[in-house]
Amino acid sequence: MTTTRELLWAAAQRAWDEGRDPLDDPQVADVLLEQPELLAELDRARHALHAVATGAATAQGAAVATGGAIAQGAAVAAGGAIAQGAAVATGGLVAQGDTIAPAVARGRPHPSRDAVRRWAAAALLLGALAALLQHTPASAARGDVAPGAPLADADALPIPAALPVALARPRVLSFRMSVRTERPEGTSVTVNEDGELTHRHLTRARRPLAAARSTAPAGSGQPGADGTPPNNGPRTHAILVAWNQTWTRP
Amino acid sequence: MTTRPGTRPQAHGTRLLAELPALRRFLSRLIGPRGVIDPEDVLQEVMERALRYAHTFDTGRAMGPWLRRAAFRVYLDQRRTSERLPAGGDAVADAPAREPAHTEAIAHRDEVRNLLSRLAPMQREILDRFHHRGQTLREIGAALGLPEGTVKSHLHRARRRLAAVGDDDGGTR
Repeated sequence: MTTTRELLWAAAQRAWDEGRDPLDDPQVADVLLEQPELLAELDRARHALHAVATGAATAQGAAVATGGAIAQGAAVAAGGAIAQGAAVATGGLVAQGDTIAPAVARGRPHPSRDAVRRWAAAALLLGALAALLQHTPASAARGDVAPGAPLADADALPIPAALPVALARPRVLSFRMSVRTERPEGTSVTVNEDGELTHRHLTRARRPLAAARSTAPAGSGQPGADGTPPNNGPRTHAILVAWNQTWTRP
Repeated sequence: MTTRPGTRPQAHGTRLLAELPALRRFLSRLIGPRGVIDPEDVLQEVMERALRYAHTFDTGRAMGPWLRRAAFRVYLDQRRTSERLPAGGDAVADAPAREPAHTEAIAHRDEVRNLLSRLAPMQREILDRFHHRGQTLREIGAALGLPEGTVKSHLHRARRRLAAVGDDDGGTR
């Protein structure tokens, strides 16, 4: 009877013989889904073969190849580094119906990494996950809309209350946001912006958002939640249309 | 199995929550105690994808295998991404301090040399010819005066030996 390990190695050997990475092989994946511990064994061979392939470690003691060997070695020392974005997001993105601009609009030109991380945690990105996952109805993205037209949230995805807490982590967000400004005279304008909230890109993300930075309900006479003065002018809704996330280590 | 549209997202989220412990265990087994990718990072990515693509999930299927397959792919993607990052780059805030790339390369080179030195000379030769010089089994057989099947056997045994020797030395992942 063929063991799972033998099945794994048979598929892996075939892949290597054909010049492929075994991890891209469906049969290898099937085995690892059943016995994930076998990945460690496969990786030992993969790393060694990669070093052989790049000439990084020959019996004759050739000079180190800086490409593949470093790539493999970096995997050990990388510490789970993340591809895109550098630091944590500020969080506090706007939910439908709110007029609170993200922390990027609060005029902090060069937040420290720790400060940004605190914002992310405090903003409880995942506590606003339901808002982040709301989909903007097509009407809001088409430009001028009738004053007072409700922004439908029929496509919103309810998130189990326990899930955001279980997954709370600081993160970097790249997002597309639809910002609709309703003017007192009854017209409105919608601006779709792509942005990225990281400690390196706050200034870039801030500019488009600052253009529609009214944070208090029109006519309310009340200051905005982020301390902006009372606003009797345009009312702004900012709705997260789509987003992608990359992660930083805590 | 069908669900009323209004209850689908809630049911999906509830099922996801129920799968979290099993998925965590799977990722721990997959990544191991010395993995460089945090299983929680993978877990969160998988959860987000599961939520975002809930509409594509057939509610009549078991969710566990679907999630494990997604987790496997996410882990491999994250691992490959981390391998592409330059050592000492500023791409991650507060990333743990790293050895200079040269030191890492030397350490890795020495480790692999040690592994190769424990192979039989024929296995080492065939490995080098196949994986480094890019020769085919037929070309290697012709060069060494061996049948193609024999070359293949040596090659396969050499690869398995690398995995076994690396484990004996407490290799990391």
